[in-house]
Amino acid sequence: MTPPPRLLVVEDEPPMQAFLKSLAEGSGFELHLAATVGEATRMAAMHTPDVILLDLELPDGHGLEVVDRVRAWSQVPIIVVSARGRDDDKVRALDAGADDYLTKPFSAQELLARVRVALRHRTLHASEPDPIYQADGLTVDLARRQVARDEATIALTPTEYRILEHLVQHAGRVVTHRQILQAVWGPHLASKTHYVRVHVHQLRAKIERTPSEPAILHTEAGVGYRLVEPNDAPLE
Amino acid sequence: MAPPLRPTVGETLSAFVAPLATTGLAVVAGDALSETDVVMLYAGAVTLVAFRSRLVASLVAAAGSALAFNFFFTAPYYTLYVDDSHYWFTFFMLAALGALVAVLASRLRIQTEGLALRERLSRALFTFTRELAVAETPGDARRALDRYQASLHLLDARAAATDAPPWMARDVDVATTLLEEHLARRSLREQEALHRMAVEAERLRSTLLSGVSHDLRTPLAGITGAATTLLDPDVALGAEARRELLEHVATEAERLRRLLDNVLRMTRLDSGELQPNLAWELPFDLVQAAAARVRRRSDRAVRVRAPGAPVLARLDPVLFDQLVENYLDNAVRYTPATQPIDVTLEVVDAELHVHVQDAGAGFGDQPVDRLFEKFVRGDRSSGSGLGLAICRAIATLHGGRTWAGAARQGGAVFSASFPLGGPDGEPVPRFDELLLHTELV
Repeated sequence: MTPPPRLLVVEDEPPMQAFLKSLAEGSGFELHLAATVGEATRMAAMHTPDVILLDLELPDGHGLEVVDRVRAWSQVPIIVVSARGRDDDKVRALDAGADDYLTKPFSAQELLARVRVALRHRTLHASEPDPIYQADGLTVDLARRQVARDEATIALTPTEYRILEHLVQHAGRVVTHRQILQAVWGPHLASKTHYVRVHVHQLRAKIERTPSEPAILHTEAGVGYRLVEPNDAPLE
Repeated sequence: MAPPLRPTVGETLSAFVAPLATTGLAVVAGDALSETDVVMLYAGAVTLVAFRSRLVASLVAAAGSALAFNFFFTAPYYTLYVDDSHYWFTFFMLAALGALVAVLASRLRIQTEGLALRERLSRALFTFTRELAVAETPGDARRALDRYQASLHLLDARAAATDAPPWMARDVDVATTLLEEHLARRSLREQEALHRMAVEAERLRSTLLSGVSHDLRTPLAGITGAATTLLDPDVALGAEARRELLEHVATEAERLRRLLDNVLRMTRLDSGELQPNLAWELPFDLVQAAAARVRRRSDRAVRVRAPGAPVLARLDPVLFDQLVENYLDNAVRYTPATQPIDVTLEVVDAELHVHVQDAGAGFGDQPVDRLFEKFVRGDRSSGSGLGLAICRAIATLHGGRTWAGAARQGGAVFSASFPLGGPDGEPVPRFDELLLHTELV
């Protein structure tokens, strides 16, 4: 039997701590709690968690500091938790290397879904990355650079393919406009995020079954895009 | 300019040329002129030179004239020998005349130059005060003083030739005082404005809170009731009943959350502390995402249509999303669950128009525009009365409008407009051109 996944929760509010504690117990996680930036960094090093859930507003500083410090030596998935209306913080944390976000208040289901995606990526990183992505009838073969829907090949422009490739590598997680911009056009265009929007629009028209009601490539207003989890993702 | 006593080249030249020219004229005229006429001619020449030059040049001209007169026109001719003291008198009169005119003229000239300088100084000061009056930042005001001082510097050299410097020092003092007063007044005004804004925001917050306090209490009462029932050992509940109560807690908490979100959002929009985070967005994609969320949440058919090529618009994606979601939630709330909701995007006169149309009962004879005011609810409303007010504030922030009306097939249409170029009317990039230019090669 595999040991239970370790979850490090960085959160200073007692009601939230209580909620997360009971949720972790009920879902079979080994839970570690930290309440400050300093504690979080120390515990991340000490317990080497499988996932970090990080509140961005902490009593002794900003959660961004934790992202920066942990990213200096670890690729552990970090899910940031932000208050509603603080979208800038959220996007900054994602650009700094956080993997995903949740907006307070969130439901137990939302949290578990995010943690599951994060854990899946952790195991993928450890072993071979899966070269074939499948969702809602769409197949992306990263090894052969082929995209097809229901056996019919889809012709993508080089830009569209590069964007899709990046999204597939981060399937299930949110990817910011800036991250796509840098992955596809390079690091010198930081403010031209609308380049991404026009190409994603075209990409969506080609890969979605019903482009007006996207089922695979979702828009997250003000943040970026999220490609759904592949069909064969393990469902716990 | 040269120091006052030393004649310029022009003056020196005229001091020598004038007697010579007069002599030439008198020699040519010969006997036509009497001796007195010749003296008068020299007197005229000296006056002319003196009027245009300083003392030294005038004296030189006078001396030259006297010598020439002596040499050419007094007996014995062509000698400098003077046998008549009468001619000494002529010489002194000429010199005195030259000196007098020279002194008077130079005084007049200094006065004129001083006046001209004074006028320039006044103009510079006037320009400075005018610039100060329209200065928008303390930096602008300081730059105005810098420009003023630079113009004084230009005048400085000119001033050295006259008796202007005391005026100038006074003007600089005046300008500096003006600047200080201006800065003090400005900081006072700014403090006042900040204070007013704080008071206004506070007033707004309390109005909003009192407006929704009833709505806040209702879900809270529901949550407290359900939770205490569940905890009460004397109440025997079946599994089904427990589940129902728990679901009640969850829905009421969600209602509470949305209410608080709306209050906070309204306060931030109203107080002016919210600056839109503008970017070139694809409104169609944003509407799609909002529609997908509402579809999932309410299990309602939401159709999105946007005829024509995709357009880019400069807007805040989160606020725009909020507006569309509020319109959609509104439609979901007031129409039967079987009725679809239609969202249409169109471009009209460089503006993006968003229409959310339902197939419900419409407005009846309610005054439609009042629905966009705070705490005004429709006849059968259960909302906070803030959703549509937030929509209006969002559109206004983007330089657009909101309105509502009856749909042709019955039902209601809620609309909003957004200038494609954003509140500042920037040039709008074309979708297809952008696509082409940014393709990887």
